[in-house]
Amino acid sequence: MYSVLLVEDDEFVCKAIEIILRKQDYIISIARNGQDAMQYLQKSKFDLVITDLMLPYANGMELVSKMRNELHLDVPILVLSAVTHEKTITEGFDIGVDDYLKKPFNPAELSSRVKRLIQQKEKNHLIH
Amino acid sequence: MDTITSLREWLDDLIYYFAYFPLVIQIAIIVSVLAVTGTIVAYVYMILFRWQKQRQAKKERPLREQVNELLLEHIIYKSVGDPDAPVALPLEDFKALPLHKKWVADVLIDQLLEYRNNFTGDIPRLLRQLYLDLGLHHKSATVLRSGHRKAIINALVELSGMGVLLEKEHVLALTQSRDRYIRESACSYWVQCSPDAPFEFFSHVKEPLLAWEQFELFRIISLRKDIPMPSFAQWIDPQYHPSVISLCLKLAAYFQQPEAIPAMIKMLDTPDEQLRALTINNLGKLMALEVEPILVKMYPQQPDSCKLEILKALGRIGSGDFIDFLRQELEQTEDFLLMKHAAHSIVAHKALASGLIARLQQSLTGTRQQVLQHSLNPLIKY
Repeated sequence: MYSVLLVEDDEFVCKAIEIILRKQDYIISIARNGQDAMQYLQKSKFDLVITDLMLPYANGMELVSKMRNELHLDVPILVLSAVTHEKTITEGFDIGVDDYLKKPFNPAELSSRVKRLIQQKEKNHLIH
Repeated sequence: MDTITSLREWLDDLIYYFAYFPLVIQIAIIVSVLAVTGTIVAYVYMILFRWQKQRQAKKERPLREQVNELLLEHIIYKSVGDPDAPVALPLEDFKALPLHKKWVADVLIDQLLEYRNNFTGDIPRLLRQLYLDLGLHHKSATVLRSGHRKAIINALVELSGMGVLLEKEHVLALTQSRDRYIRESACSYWVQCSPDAPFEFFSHVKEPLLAWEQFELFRIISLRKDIPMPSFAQWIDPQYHPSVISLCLKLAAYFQQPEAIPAMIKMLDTPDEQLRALTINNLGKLMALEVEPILVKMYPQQPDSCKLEILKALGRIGSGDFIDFLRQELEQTEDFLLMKHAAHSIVAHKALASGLIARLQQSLTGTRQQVLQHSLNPLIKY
């Protein structure tokens, strides 16, 4: 069983992703903003983080930056956001985002990306 | 009891002495009373409105959860499993809901719209099919013919969100409605949902399409991937409404339709300065090489807004044939904006202008040199 942290302030999207991933045997924790997410990340280990970019208190970019630079976490990060500005997406990859999915999204695509990122993480761990 | 009695006495005194107060004080008292009463009424209205909304939300919550579960379980989750396997619509489960009640049908439609907005892939099509199979569109179809403005707009928004085109003739007539909001919603609906002739109403527009409407229509048209785009040149003609011409100029440039260039060149003679400036701008975006000599020739007679667009267009087309004209403008004009755009357009010629730029850096002085240096900075957006 893999654990996924979902950082999303939209209740509808949260519920939908929660059900989709829970049905596939993932354990889902939900944080509604960047601050909550940091607390979760300090307490528990996750196999994947899915985050929105537009979040209250601390936005998604700040969260990614803190995860990589302050907490030194190597957990894969998938950004799920309606932001399509190329520069923002490139900046995201520069600071440590692993994958990007645009909202509105296809649940099947989300599911495969989640699976791929976790498999990739496992492979990397085996190599090291 | 004492408080009530003393308040009553105070009010009695106030009413008794009111007639003896100076006029200014009387007006002040009336204004204060009106302000306090108005504030109280506003607060009471807000409290009642919020209470009503909360009560409605509480009533709808179990139904929303039930609908969510049905949609997630039968449509969303199934589409994750095997994307190629056909998803059977759970019609019986939805028919079990008391859809004859208006609020139940409204909640279901609301949820269907929310799901359509949030998911891509095959899901929007399945949700649309479910909407049609459950007959939820009948109410909106009836409402379209009612005289209720708000209801018509809501129906248009709902049908447009569900991607269902009904009552074609009537909707087409609504695109000519005298009510601006109905007209706007009907135009957006028509452009978004019409399968074969989404731009038909362009030919009949009599009232101006406002800037916001044009923006919205542009957004919807640019998102439609299911139909081939027509040649927008057919509407770049003075016989159509200037706002339609203006929208079509932008669309022709966005979809890179060079066949629109001859129609655009004809529009350069329009007496409407704004439209002429927009035409020049979009000719530049289409990189219409043949238009460069025409623009240069018409330049001296143009107002500043058109001159500015001509300079920009010459920079965008960038053939190099009129680089001397740009140099001359940079060296001679006293207008700062024209100077700036002449410099920008010279720089936009890139390799073709490298020799000229080196010479100008030597020969220009003062503001003109500063403007050129500014234009050469790659961090400054053109």
